[in-house]
Amino acid sequence: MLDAGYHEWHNVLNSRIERRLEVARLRTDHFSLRYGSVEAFSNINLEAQSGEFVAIVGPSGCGKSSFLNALAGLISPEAAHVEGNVFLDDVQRIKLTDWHGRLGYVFQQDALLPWRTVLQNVEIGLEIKGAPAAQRREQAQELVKLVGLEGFEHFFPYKLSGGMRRRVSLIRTLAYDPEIVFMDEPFGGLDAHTRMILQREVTEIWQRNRRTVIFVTHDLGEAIVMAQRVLVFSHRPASVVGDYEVPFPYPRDPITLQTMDEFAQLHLKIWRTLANEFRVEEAQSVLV
Amino acid sequence: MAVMANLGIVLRQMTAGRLGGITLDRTVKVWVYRLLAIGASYLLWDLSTGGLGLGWRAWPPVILASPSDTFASLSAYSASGLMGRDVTQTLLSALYGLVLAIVCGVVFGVGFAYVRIVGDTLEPIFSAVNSLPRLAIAPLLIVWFGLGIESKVALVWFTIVFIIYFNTYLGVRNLDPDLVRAVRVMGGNGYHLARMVLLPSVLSWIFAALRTSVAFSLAIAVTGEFVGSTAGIGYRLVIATGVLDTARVFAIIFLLMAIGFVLVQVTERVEKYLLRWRPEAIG
Ligand SMILES: Nc1ncnc2c1ncn2[C@@H]1O[C@H](COP(=O)(O)OP(=O)(O)OP(=O)(O)O)[C@@H](O)[C@H]1O
Ligand SMILES: [Mg+2]
Repeated sequence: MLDAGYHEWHNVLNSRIERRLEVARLRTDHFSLRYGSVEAFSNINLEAQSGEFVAIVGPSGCGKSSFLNALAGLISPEAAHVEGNVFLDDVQRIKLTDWHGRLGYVFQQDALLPWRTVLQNVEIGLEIKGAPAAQRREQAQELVKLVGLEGFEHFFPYKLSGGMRRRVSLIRTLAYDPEIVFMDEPFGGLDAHTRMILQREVTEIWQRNRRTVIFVTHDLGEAIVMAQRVLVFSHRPASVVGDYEVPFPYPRDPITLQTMDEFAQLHLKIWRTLANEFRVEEAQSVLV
Repeated sequence: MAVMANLGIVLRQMTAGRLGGITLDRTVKVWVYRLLAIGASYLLWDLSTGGLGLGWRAWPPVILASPSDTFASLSAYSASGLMGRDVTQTLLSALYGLVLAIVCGVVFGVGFAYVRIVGDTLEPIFSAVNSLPRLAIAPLLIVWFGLGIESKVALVWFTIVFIIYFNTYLGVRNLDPDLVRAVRVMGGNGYHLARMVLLPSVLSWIFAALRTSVAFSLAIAVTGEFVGSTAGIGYRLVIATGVLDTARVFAIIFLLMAIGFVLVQVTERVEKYLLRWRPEAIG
């Protein structure tokens, strides 16, 4: 029973890769959200092409997480009022269940199940898809190695550092290979070195399987280094105040890319827009 | 550099060994003290009841039976075959009551937590019934269910079911919404949610109540037998007290202590294993 379901899913996956079938395309239309009297974001029209890597940068508290949550369909009507539409492949999407497991979401707070070990957490998505146990384990093991967590496979989350938990939460999403991936500050709280490695790793994975990615970050450099497009959100209520193509070819190497003049120029250009959105005086004065 | 690194490792190993040594020493020490304490109590007991070859008695045997009389009575009790029957009867009352209470408590706890309106409606009623001293209804239960095992099962059930119910209810109400979201985003349905999030988190709440419940179930089964019964440890205890057979009373108290101790230890082990994902095992 379970096997059949898994094979079906796996076949779909393979045929998609072979025939280069398109993965999810996402569009929002006059999308707004307010929590009672607090308006989190307003009137956002965003379009992410199939297989596109879009980064969103914006000041803290501007409504980025709320935006992703609303896109995913995680906001209950009691918690907030949502207006506008979300289209997935031109079909209007309203409920969380409409994703049918095609969505991956790396939350800002790693939501690891505390009663599952690292490996068991990574396997959740595959378990839901009905993958056989041995295969699940093998795939999870591979990803654990990828992010340097060998030796911690059987640790419960409470024994992991913050950075390790982030990595588990990241590979937990990659494990079931969703068509469209939301990442909310996936490298928050990691040291610069690990961050750099993971930036390159995630960019490479994206380059290989071309999923549609919406990547939220505070770090403009990170956005430019990884994404094809950078959207700048205004302060709260967020709206899109900048939309920049990032013309650098893949494969990209975060470290060398950051030393190039073109990078610096683009960084400055986007920073000018972004800095306007910080209400803090100091942020403005950095801009000379 | 390499030397420094090696030095670091050696230092760490040394301190680890030392710390290991200290904990080992402590365990041994505690055990020595424990045995000393137990031995001293035993000697005191024996001394005050005519033992140690002194023949001196601080109390008459009807107040405090001597160790030798107690253990003789215990082995006679066991040899007669009564002990096996009594223990079985009492443990079965406790076990049936406990299992039924867990089943009902969990089913209603989960059910009413989801059907919020029912849970909210019944909350004050349950709280009121819960604050009723359980033993007060023991005679009534005897009238309803007779002198057999059923009345004890009912009493145990009634004592424990609310504890389990309230814990389950709170467990469901306190589900971490982030975890629910995470599983649902990955395409999890109701079954997946129940297995991956609901069950483990409710289980941790139930276990918080289980140790008390296990100890309670034994105590209440025995007390129920005091009120009215034809067999069981409690029944035997009442009879022995009635004929002033203090040695038998002591024998039964020791027996109860041993059973209770084993049950609680086992529950603790199971709890520790099942909740090993917790930062600090409770208790
Ligand atoms: N559940 C909620 N109920 C009420 N207000 C909320 C809720 N969640 C977020 N908000 C408010 O909405 C605004 C946007 O929050 P959000 O978490 O989306 O910001 P963010 O851009 O992700 O910030 P950060 O970069 O710091 O993560 C904040 O003012 C916050 O207080
Ligand atoms: Mg956020």
